[in-house]
Amino acid sequence: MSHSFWSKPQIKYGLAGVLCLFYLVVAFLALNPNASAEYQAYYIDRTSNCHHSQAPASIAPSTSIRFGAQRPHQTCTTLIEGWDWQQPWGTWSTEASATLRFQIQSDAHQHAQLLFHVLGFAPLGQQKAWVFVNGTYMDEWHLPHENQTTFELHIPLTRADEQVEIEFYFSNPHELAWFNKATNPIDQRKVAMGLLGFQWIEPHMANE
Amino acid sequence: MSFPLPLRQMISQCSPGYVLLVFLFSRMCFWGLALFQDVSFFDGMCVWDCHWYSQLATQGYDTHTHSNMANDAANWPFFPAFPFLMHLVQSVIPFSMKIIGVLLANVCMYFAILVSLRYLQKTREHPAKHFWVWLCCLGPFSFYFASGYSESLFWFLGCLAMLLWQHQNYIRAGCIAALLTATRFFGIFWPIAWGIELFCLMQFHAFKHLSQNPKKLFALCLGPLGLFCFIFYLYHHMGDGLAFVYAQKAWGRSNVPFWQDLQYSLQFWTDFGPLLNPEPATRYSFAFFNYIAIMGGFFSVWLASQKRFFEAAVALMLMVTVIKSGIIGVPRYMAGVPVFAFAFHDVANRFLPPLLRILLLAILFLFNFWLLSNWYDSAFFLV
Repeated sequence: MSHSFWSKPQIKYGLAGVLCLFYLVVAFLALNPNASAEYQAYYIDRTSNCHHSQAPASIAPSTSIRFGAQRPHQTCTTLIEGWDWQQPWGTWSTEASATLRFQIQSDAHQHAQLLFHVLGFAPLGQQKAWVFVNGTYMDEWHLPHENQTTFELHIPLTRADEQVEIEFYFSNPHELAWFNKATNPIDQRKVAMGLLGFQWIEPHMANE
Repeated sequence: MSFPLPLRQMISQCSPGYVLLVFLFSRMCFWGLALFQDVSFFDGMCVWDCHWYSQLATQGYDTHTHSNMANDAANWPFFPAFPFLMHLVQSVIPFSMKIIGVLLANVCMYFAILVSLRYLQKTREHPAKHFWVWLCCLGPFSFYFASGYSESLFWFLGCLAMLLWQHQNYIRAGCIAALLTATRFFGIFWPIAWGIELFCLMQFHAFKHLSQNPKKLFALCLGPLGLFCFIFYLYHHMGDGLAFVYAQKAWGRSNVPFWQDLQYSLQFWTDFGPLLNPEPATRYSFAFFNYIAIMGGFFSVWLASQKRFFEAAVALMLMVTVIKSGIIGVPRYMAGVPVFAFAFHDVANRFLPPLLRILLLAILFLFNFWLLSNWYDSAFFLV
């Protein structure tokens, strides 16, 4: 009985039709995802570098922000563009410019004195970084080759809990391959500066 | 030296016992190399995606991202059939998932060789059976089938579906294809390629033919069921049915248009040096991938020229998909789909006399041991 039922061609046509209908419904669902805005922007539309809604790092007086592999969320919230994957010690810039975004937690200061801990990559002897804060030119740094050094940056604050965007433009970003330092042909990073972190220092510390 | 008659028959007919002996010998060789490199066999075999399969088999599909440098990776790109099987086996045999994944993959591969041998005998006039068995057991990239990867299950189901279709057991072939599409994305090529084969053989009469053959039509509709069930599940689980595609961003796939990637990689034809880097994570060579992709293109054209339309269609679809998703995937994805191995068998069988085929196998075994040694090191180019 069941065999004769199954062997009827109409049953197979009917089941094929049901399957096609199921595929259409699933295709419709697949094309209309029910995902968070962060997921949509990061994975589907690719309009965001962040797959989560964590805020950018923030800095308060006498505190610091450090970079490194232990803080992967900073890769998109704070190290906005032009930075490599984070290493245990921090991260390298990998393009002609690099952008940093963070929040300054204060409603009582008119400026913040930040001390940046950086490394230079200057195999040809000169590497300069021009520093812009919120689009305004602020300073020029001379980065020593493969040596850790510090630079101060004076940031005027116009409102409480201000979000600051710092852009670094590099004079001579170098491809590692030019110096036989690339590990393989997929390594196309143009390195200029390594960033370990920065701290908000009080003026008296800056004078010491 | 002469073998007793039953043994001689076993060897000459490539019986399951003979295949098992060759298979065990090959795994002993893999184990021996692991010992030589001072690596535990199961640790050496369970690298890269094997950990994802183990995690998936233990914890199920993720609800949020949790791994990788940017913390943006999840197990959504991994299809469910193989980890589900691992989960089932572990409920009976309480070994670690790593061991179960490796054992299961090897069992699947043994049966895949038997089924593919039957398929070769069905579709080729004089298949080089011994060449085929040894190629599957010890040929280049054969260690993928000894690792805790879904490749071996895919081979088994893929060859079984092809064999059943050849035997005109269409509905069973469709059911197996449905399992195949739940194993890896490339499973979807099977029902599409059956459709293409019908069209190549009958042109527009294929539509009439299908409408008059409800079994074939139903089988073709049944094939994508595994994939669509997976999409449906992902939609309900985390809201995006295509998460298995999009989540690949975490592995750096498709971050730039594929033609830019391809254009860049085609600039390199001699960069084999980094393959010998002391640091395994930096071993990478575009030339290695480019030459293998060229071989893939050649085999696809070869299959089409031999009017093996189904196999050619699968091969061509795979090449296009893999090149679109990044050339680094070419060797693994080509090895993971049996049609390229069939084409290689056909070319060797047609143009090489038996002695040269043995010599070729010997060279391929050495190449495979070099690859395997890199695999145990977790070399980046084999990811």
